[in-house]
Amino acid sequence: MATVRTLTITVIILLTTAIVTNAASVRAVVDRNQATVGESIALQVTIDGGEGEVDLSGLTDFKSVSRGTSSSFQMINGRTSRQLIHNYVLIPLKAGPLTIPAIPVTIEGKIHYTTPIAITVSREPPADSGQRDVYVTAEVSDSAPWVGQQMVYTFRLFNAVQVADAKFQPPEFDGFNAEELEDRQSHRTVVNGREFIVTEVKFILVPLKTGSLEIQPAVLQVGLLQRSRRPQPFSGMDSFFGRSQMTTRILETDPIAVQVKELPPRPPGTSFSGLVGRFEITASLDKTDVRVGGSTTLAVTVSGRGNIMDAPAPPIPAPPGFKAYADNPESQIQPGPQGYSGKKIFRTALVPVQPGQYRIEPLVLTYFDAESGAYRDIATSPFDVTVSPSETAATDIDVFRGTPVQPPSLKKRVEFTGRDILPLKEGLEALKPQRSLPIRWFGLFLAIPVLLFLAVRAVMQMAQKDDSPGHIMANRAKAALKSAASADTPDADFLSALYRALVSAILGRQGVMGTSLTWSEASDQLLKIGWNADDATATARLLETIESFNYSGGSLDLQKRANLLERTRKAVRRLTR
Amino acid sequence: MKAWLLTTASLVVFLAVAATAPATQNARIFMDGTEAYRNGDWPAAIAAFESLVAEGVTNGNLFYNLGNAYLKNEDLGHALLWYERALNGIPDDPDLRFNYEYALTLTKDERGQKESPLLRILFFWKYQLSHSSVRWMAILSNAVLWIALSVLMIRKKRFLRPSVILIAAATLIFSATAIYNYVETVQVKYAVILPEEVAVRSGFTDTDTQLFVLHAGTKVRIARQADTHLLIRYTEDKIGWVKRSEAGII
Repeated sequence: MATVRTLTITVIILLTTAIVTNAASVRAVVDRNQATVGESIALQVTIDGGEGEVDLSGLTDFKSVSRGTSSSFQMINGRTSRQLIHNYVLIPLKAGPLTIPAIPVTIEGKIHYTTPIAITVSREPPADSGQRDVYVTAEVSDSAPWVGQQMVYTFRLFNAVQVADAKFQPPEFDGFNAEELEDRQSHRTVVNGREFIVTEVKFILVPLKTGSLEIQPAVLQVGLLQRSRRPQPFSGMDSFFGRSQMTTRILETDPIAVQVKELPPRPPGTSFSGLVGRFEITASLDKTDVRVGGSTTLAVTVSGRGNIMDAPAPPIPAPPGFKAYADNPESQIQPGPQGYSGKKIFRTALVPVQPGQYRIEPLVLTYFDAESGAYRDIATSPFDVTVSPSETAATDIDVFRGTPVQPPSLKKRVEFTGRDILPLKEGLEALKPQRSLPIRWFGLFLAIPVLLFLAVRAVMQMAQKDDSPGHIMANRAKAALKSAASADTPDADFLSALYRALVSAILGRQGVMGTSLTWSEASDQLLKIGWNADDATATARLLETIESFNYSGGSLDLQKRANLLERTRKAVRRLTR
Repeated sequence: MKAWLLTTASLVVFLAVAATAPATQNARIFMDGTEAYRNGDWPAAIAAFESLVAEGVTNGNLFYNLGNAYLKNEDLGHALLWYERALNGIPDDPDLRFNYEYALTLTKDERGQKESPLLRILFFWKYQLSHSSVRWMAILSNAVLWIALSVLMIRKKRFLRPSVILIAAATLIFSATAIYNYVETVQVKYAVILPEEVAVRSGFTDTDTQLFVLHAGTKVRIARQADTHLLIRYTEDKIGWVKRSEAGII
């Protein structure tokens, strides 16, 4: 009885222990409760004794980033415990006394709450104070540009401590055509006595519309390597080993307001090229003396700084009596820290068709000078060209011959200028039946030649049929061979048949009738019909072998029979061919 | 004797006239059709040409004329149907090819079933030559083959053997292609969509699900024929039923 009681008490204690072990609890801890705007705070939500879902939707004053989960399982003094830790990085979005509210954690359908945590977030010191470890700035080269005028947007990262894992998100640049310069530059600078590394990212912006535009903040997320200052339970042995820790910061530039001005009215009588910036125009002519049908190339170069890629092909003032063939323009444009600069070259092949003295008038280009805020006309110098008569006849002028720059082909792809169908077929042959050949007729047409061939063959066989001794003996040899080939032929009959076949074949070849031959006669006969000595001797020996087997009366095994039959068949076939 | 001769002559004339009467009538209808076409009376031209077809006249030129008349009458579906039928008779006719290609430019749907380019290269003679040409090539090469074999049998000229092998190969290729064409003509049927727009459905009734829509002139393959409907295959993955009146079998 006492034993039963002890056992019952033990079971109850164990069950109670298990229940205690399974009871879940949650808690939240942060690595610091004082921070500046943009500085990260590590948050751990620990779930003891189970798995749960953490809901951070109530953290409106912070931006939260999950850093994964970890779990541990422990047994101490016979008690088991399981911990599941959710790690987050919180970034305060504003300054002031903030609160991490009670975070709901759902465990097996039941909601548990962590304890709220108060965080004091202070504003960062001014950027130029030198007190910040890291900060960013943005500026534009001209905050009041003309529409179409290029400007440079510069983003700068200042860091006095080591940074890592930088992720840069540029602004959308709504209302601008933006291109980032691939070359990101870094240099060192001193701000209020403190040395910073400055990394610059530049964009070339071209305003596409007029009015007030705003460039949204650029955002940079960086990891800062700093010495550990975490309290329990984060620090552990960090203070002892002097380890660094990575903290995440999100840095934003201030938005930039840009007032884009509309271009002033164009002066009357000018043709604006659409170029905004500062430009030059030059022209060159490779030959000023040219024959009719020859060619000279006029190269017009527009160079400068601004939207040079938009430079249109200038209207070439080709004199009457010239044909002009424009080539594809050549562009050499580089984006740089000051914007786009370079040149665009327009080449035109001029081909005179009449001799005489001509003048190529200056080319005028009107652009908008963004610095002075006025339209400017720039022009090339004129060229005088002397065209002498062609060496060939006037009627035989080949405008393509001898041109250093081959003008484009005058041939054009022929296109339909109108579409219609071709007319009716009015001939009465349209009434004649057109039936395809029925398959039976097709088969008959195929069969007719075959039948004719067979008929010809039959006729030939009939014609070739004769009663000559050679033919008779050849048939006799074939018949004897066929008889010998039968498997159930006795040995004596087999050998007789072979002998008959061979003798008939040899005699038939000579065109004589007969039934026997000695081996020497056979050899002589074969030599007479042109066989060589070896073959004749071998065949005669075969005849002798057959005879000797026949007269000795011995039995033949299958192999010998087959050998004799094959040798005889070859000889007969050769003789009766 | 004189009466007998007169009777015989009358009978001969009567029989001759009776024999040529349908031909003359067809010629008159044909001329009326071409005249109507010239005058821009497309429906009259269509009626005349179709009456000839109903009389049993099977001729690629007549089908071509019907295609023209329908195209002028802005009935693209019937125009392409008759052009397709004409292609079976006069596949190499340049006028037909031109008008057919032009009519194809007016269709709204992409070409559905497309032949594999590899097949077109490997079996180029099938695609380059008309059925009739293939047939006659087979007949001709077969005749040459057996003549060559006969010569070989009579004269035993060894140098003829390579030529005979080549001719035999040509005969085999053209004969096999011709037979394949016969089988394909019987087994594989195509149709052309006739109305401006046709709903291809999953079944025979108008309440069945509309699977896709085809437009006039689109060529489709007939997978199966029912009394009132055709199961058509536009591409490998697009198949459905249309009414018989909505697709003309080529």
